Amino acid sequence: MIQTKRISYKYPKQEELVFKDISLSASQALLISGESGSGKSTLLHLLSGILKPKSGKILIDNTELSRLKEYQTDRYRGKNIGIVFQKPAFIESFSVFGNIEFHYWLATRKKVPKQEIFNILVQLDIAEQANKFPRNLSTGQRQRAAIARAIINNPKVLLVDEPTSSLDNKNSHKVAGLLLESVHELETSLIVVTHDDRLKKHFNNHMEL
Amino acid sequence: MTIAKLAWKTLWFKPLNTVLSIILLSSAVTIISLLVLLQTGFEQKYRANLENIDFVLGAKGSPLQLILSSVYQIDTPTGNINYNEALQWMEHPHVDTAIPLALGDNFKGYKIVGTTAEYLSLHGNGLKSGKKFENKFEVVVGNKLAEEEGLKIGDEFYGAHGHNASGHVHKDHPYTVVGVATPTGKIVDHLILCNIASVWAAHDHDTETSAAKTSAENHHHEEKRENKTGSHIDEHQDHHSKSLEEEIQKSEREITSVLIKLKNKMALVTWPRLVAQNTKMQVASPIIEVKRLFSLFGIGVSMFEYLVSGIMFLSAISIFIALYTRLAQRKHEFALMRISGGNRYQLLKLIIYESLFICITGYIIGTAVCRITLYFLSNYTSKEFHLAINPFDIIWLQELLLIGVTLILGILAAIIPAIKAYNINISKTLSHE
Repeated sequence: MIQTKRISYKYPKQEELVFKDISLSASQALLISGESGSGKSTLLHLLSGILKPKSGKILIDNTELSRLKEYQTDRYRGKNIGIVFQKPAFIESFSVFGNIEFHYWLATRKKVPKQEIFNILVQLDIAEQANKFPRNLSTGQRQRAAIARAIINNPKVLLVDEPTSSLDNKNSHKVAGLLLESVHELETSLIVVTHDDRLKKHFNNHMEL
Repeated sequence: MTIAKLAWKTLWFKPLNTVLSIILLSSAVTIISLLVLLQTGFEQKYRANLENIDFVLGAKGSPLQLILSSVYQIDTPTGNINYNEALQWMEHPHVDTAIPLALGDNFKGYKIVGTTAEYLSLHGNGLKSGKKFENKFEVVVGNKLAEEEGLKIGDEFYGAHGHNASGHVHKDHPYTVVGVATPTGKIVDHLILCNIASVWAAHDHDTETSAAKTSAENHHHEEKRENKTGSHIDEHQDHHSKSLEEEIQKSEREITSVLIKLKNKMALVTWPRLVAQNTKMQVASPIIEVKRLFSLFGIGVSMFEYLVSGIMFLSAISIFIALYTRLAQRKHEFALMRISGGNRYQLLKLIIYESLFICITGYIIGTAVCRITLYFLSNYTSKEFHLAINPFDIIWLQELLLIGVTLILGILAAIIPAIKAYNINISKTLSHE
């Protein structure tokens, strides 16, 4: 469901970054690894339409992302791309529940059934944190809340940045399991960008930057 | 709707800045509305009491004092004038109506005004119940006063000398309530009206009895007796002959002032000049004096207005600073909103909503505080100045103007922070985590 063709990006006064082509269908997962500075974040931003590539094409579900106008990209991203960042940000004045609700509204302009949120929170084992403010969560809980938020509206593509860098082995294992599970359940394409070698064993598809 | 909810929640998540901004704004709104309402309230009431009065004829002194005492019943009178002399000018062909006033007594601080029944129709009002005063010691009481003191038709009370309730009480002749005036929102509501003869009689009788007492105790016959209480209705009593005494009294009858309405515009110019040239009395124009009073007021009011504009400006700055300093902390939130599918306009909206919420809350609190203050103030002014200001009077133009200014201020304060949020670079924000 996600395809890239010869995409490149250039920051001012820096060498041009050229990325290998990616082609993933629904329910497929890909692990992209690379050292810091290899352009992992840049690739993630390109794939989510936050940055526009200098050349090349990005196709998600047959829509050429790089051709959309900015506000169209915003809409498209909300609807079709779920993103989990390394240090996920939250709306600090909303509860975990409120954050997920608000994300759903921004992405779809619709109200999400409360039960759906609870189901996902239960699945990720943070249902008890639903009414807490994000600042009162542990790192692991924040991570899981961010995953819950990213998948609430069934995105076609799920992009995850360094999901395990601040987690211990046990939790890292758990999170990887959760991500892969949801890929099958939601039939999304999953791309995980990391420099954490512990994750390699969970993924069949590897790509080195 | 949801953006508005976020704006509201954000404001109260860290409420200190929000509260400060609201306090500043609401105090500015309170003072402005108070000023506007008080000023227009006072001016309206003052102007309303001027209807049908072109001039006031009275003793020499400060013209403002004459107007305040005769038209508004707040100051002490300038002195007395001879009734017979005044009568000549009251019956002058230029004069349309002339209403004599004899002041000097009060009941629990409410002025007892000796006048003619025309005073009642001066402001186009009549009686709510009962009849007009005809005989001595019959009174018509103002509507407010009747309510406050619980006076009904048939009730009796004693007047006290002077302007405050602690004056010497004329215990001999009770006044009888025969009527209650219709409510007008004007001075009449707080007055006790009777005929002039009642006022004269109250003082005559009082002087007679105390004179009798004095002579009985001292067995001395003094030629003239000092008037202990320093009455405005001065009486000189002679002991020699009762009939002669009455004659003299009649020619020396005094009143406080006369409210004059003239027949035409020409008379407005000539009549006061004639009085000034031919008598020792003065003629004061209420319109001129009230204008003078308000222009004196005006200096204070405009000083206040500058001060309040300052506070208003300060509150706009405080909103601006609150929004601006929060930007840095919140840029991750903004980036997140964009990631979630929100667009730039929604960020713009968010910031403007936050500012407007502060302003609207400030406006509502300010208006509420103003009305509550006015409610208490009105009780005070109605007692002290006989001016009841309705605390729930709405001057739409002023209110709309104030809302408009408040909202514009809110938008101005939000413009720069909103544009900053609008222009946020998500990629940069996310990579500098």
